[in-house]
Amino acid sequence: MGKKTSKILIIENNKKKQIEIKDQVDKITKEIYISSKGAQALNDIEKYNPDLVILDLFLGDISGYELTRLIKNNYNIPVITLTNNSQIAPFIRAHQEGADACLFLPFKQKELQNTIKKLL
Amino acid sequence: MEKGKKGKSNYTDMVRLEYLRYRDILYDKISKLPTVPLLIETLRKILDRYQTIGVIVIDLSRYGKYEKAYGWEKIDIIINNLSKTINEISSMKIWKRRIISVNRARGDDIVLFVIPNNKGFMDITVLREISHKLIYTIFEKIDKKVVSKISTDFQVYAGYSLIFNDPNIRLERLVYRGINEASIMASDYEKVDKQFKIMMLKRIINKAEIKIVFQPIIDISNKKILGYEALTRGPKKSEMENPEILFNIATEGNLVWELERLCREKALSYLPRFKEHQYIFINSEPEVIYDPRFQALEILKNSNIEPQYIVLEITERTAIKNFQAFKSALTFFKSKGFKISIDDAGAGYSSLKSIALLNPDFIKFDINLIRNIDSNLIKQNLVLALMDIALRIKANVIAEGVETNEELLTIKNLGVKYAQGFYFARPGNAFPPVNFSKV
Repeated sequence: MGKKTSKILIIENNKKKQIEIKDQVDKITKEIYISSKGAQALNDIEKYNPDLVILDLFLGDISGYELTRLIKNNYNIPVITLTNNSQIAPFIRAHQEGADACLFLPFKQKELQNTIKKLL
Repeated sequence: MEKGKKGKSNYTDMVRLEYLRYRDILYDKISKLPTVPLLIETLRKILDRYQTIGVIVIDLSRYGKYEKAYGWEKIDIIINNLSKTINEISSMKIWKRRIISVNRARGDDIVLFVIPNNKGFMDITVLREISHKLIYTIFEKIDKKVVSKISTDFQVYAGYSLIFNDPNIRLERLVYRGINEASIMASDYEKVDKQFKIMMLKRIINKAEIKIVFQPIIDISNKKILGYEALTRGPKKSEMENPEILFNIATEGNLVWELERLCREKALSYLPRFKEHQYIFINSEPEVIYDPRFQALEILKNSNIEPQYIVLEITERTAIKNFQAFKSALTFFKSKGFKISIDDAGAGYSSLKSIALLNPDFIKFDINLIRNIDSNLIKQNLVLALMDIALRIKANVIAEGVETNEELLTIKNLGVKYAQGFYFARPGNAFPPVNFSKV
């Protein structure tokens, strides 16, 4: 991180998971924004201009895969995707849509932090 | 910390989303060509003026079929290259701006609309000529290096059809009907070709014209050879030299059982030449338990190999698809002392849980998972998750398809113990040497 604090946007509709993710991200930066709706996320990216986006692949309103594709096609921001079942296919699909990382929930120790550090 | 203004913001949220969605859909991501909806108005003008328009479909979907063998990343490159070539060709002067190329949907096939000449003349023979010329030019222009990566026998198929103006039918429907007719023709050409290949394969099996090659599996930390995987190759310099294509054709022609048995018996005939405590990895369908010749285990009597050094590799895909067959194969072979390996793990057909349930002795990571893993965090994430499972069920993990030093270092750091790939040795006649200074 060094000179400037990084801005991280979390896109997650589940309040519990928001807290779980935020707890991890808090250890890296204090500039955290949260979008609770997928559709709102693209506007939030314009508004806050984050350095990294963390998004759940299974959002209520729009597909996380589509959102990943739209973000990667239109903005130059690293995207970490999250999935909470143990299926492997979401990993591959997230990769196809251009995601930079994909993690299973719940996180293993420091997994999210390490991934964020590698991408910033 | 939710800062978005409620109520009012909802409207603009949707506008941006819809805008980006449309922009995404109107141009195909892989071929970078416009899609049909974007051209409907142009087509309407042409049809109003000339009453007819030609349509040629170039079918790229056959490359989609190779996706399983080569991974979508490679296929994307090829489709991108092909559509670039087709686009270049269609904007060439000889056509006098009479061809517009578009993508039907998501990189499956390229559609070319052929506009009649100044006199408004267009008929099916003209279209046939143009489509033959097109295919011929594609062959001349395509980047051979890119295509040869997946096939030595490069083929594209084209079909064509005419669209006639009919004010009583919606234009969109007219256009898509024309495209469908043309693509049916293209796939008919392909079917004939496929039938021909199935006959070739029957001949190959009949004459036992396959070759077995071996690729060493390396114990990275101890700099030793753990064993060899027996791989099949079709006749040299034919499309079927590639085992994936060989087996794809076998599947289409219902010849998998015959081909598998031939490969298995040829591979096992090398057993007497194996050193003690070296494993032989053999690709297998779970149905192998129903092969009486294999059950008799006669092949083992003449070699110094015990069953515990024979590893049957069953792909994640078949294991999941045929869970019952797999389970009975597992029980049978384990009772005889054989080892079982899950091949192509992490290709996306299973879940972490189901791999744990299969409880194999070895887990082999899919080649596509290892390719460029050093620069790809998402692949590292998945390998780590799989390593976790392997540790829990006490399975050994093998990374397949290691090609570079960077890939080797990355998997080493992730804790993978065994590796296989061009970096150590290419598959070769029994048995290719390994340069351990690289390990």
